[in-house]
Amino acid sequence: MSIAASEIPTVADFARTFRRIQGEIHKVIVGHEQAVEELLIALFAGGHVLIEGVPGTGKTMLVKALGQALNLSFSRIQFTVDLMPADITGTRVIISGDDGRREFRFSPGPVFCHILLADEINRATPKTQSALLEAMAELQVTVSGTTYPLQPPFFVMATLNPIEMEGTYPLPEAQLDRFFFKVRLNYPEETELVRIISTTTGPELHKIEPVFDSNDAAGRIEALKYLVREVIVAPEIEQYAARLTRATVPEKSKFIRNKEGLARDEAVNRYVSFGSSPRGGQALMLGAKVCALLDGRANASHEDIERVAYPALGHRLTLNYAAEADGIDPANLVQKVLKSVRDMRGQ
Amino acid sequence: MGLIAGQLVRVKRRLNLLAAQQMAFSVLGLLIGAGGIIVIAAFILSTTHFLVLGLLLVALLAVGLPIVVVRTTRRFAAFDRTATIADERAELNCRLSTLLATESEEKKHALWPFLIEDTLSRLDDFRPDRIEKRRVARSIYGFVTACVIASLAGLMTYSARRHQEALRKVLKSLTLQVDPSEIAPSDNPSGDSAQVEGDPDTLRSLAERLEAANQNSRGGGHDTLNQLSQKAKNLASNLQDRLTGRDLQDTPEKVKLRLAQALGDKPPDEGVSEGDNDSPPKPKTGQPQPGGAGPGQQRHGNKDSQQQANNEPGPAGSNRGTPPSNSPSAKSFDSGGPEGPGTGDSPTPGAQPGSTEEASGQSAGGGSDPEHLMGPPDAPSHKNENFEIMIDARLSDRSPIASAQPYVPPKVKTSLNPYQHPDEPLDRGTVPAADRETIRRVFER
Repeated sequence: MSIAASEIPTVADFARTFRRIQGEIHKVIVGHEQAVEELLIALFAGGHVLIEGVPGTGKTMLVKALGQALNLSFSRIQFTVDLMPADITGTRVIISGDDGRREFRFSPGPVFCHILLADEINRATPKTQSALLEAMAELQVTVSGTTYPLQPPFFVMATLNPIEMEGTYPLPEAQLDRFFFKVRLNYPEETELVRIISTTTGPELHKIEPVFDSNDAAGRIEALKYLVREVIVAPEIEQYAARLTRATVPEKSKFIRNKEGLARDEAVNRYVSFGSSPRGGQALMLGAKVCALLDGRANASHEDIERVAYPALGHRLTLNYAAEADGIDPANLVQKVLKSVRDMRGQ
Repeated sequence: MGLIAGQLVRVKRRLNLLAAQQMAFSVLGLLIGAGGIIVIAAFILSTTHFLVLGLLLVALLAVGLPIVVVRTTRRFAAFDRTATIADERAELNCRLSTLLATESEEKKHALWPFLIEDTLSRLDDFRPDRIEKRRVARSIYGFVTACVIASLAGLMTYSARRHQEALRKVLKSLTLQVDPSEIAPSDNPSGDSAQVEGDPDTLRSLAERLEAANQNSRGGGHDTLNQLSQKAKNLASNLQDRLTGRDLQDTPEKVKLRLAQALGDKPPDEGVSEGDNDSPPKPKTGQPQPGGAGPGQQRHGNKDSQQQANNEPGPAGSNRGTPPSNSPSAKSFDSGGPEGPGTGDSPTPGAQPGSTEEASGQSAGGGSDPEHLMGPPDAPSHKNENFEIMIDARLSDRSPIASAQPYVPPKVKTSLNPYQHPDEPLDRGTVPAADRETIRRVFER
């Protein structure tokens, strides 16, 4: 997608728009500031987000609020065991024409939208889950041998319920890897809970004002995404992101040839089966670029990389049984990896 | 971009200047401090401790200097490192390093102009004095401390030198008249400032003993480690002497070890050392003073072999040429009763070589009757090899100062028991050959 130079927003525009969307979302979402920011970072970086949280913490509300603020088309799919792939992508149906002739026509599924909420994605079968893979990765779906492109911006937000795991199908690593960020929604704090109760039980409900016009919302968002990719990155920062990504790979991994620059943290070697894929490094860099723009800079820095390290890498670490037995949280591992790479940087 | 680059050059210059200072101060501080400590240690530590400290310091320097040099060399900043440092210290979030890294790219990013403007607007944030506030490296504190230590060492050396100079003015020469039996191989004089005089027989005897001792030491040199440690100690001792100014290598003084004649037939009559005539007059040992000489000066009651460890040049030395038996001091010493010989700090028996007629009543130095109760003295049977006494003679300023009062041993007279029979002087016999080694070991201890 090429954008004319005159249409490229400025760094200040980016930050202003970002903050405005954030503000609109927070009209209905109390707390979860970090989750909302990470959600928007993923959106402008062109990724998809996996939202994990216990029921009632505002996952669906968050996605709806984002759709309203961006003034983009919005679809919601409730994933269940009997959901079929065609229920997501669409299918060919027989339609009678005006002349009486019947023909197969493609009926687009809910995936044909700008913002897709895949609610409780782990309740669908792997076959259905994988139907999202092509759409998320390649922005297109193929039905009966015909490929249908999706309109950008395409943003998938999948929610994951960590409880009631019976009868669920945990997402395979390959599908997890396709999510740009994994955002965790924690229980609200007491003050936040008070505000939630007061704002949602009163007679007046807050209404979200769209930030963009419906006509040019997609174009504006694409322009902002283009600006993100224009952020200048020094080779040193790229090396830092690469080093951080490689540091998540355990030394014992048989898929690694040169072990130089690998994590020297013992916890990674002990608890991680598989480290982050190169997609993790891409997510780090794109997220860092968004952070730089938010900070009013045209260049990425080490701090930007570190700021997005957990949402970008946490879900890409495949932990082993020892980690499960010891109750190891991926967040802790990412912190250890960060520390080890910082030490290397200090040297 | 030129403005930014110029500012960076200034920052780099300042950083590197500081690094150079740090290197210079650290290296000089280490060297000067170590030197100062060595000199101070030479004054206050024993040879063994001085040796250990010296080795420790050498090891410390051998390890520390390369580390300091490597560390400070790393502090020298190239252009990109300067940008990184400026980014960190001015919290520029990699603006400068990104600019430098991407400046050479042909295709500029769309945000390149913004990056330059943004950095230019922060030009004041990375001024050299903001990036590096110090003009002088912190290591100057170490350097100053080292200089203080060195000054202290210099002061100590200076005062010691002055002290030595004062001594040299007083002590032009030193003549020690020693009995050859007291000379052990370890007394082998070395250096230009020591001279041994004596009759040919005595010198030959001494040479033989030295040779025997050398052979013994060569034959017994199984323990190489001991030899090495001894050598190291000698080196440390020499260095210590040199640092403290105690060495006499280049001093005009001469130490003469005058060996009395082997058989003690006649006293040496050339008791004047070379510098005697130039020396200022000093209290004479021949003067009628009670006790005659201090305990360190008159070691034996025997007149002939009386050791004139006399630090006094000039007339005092001239007087030594006269037979000591004529001097009142010798007489008073003889009449010192039991204390007389006791004032001598040598355990040598009273029988010493000397003239026969002048040794009457004095050969039995251990007797209790100063009035010749012991009868006529034995014919002096000089046994050159009876004893070997280690002598460690060093210049001292205690007694030879004109104003100083020599130590006068108190006279103690004890009346004899009236029923006591006069002691019969015992004939001096030769020490059995089997006991010689034992006796030698006892006195060497």
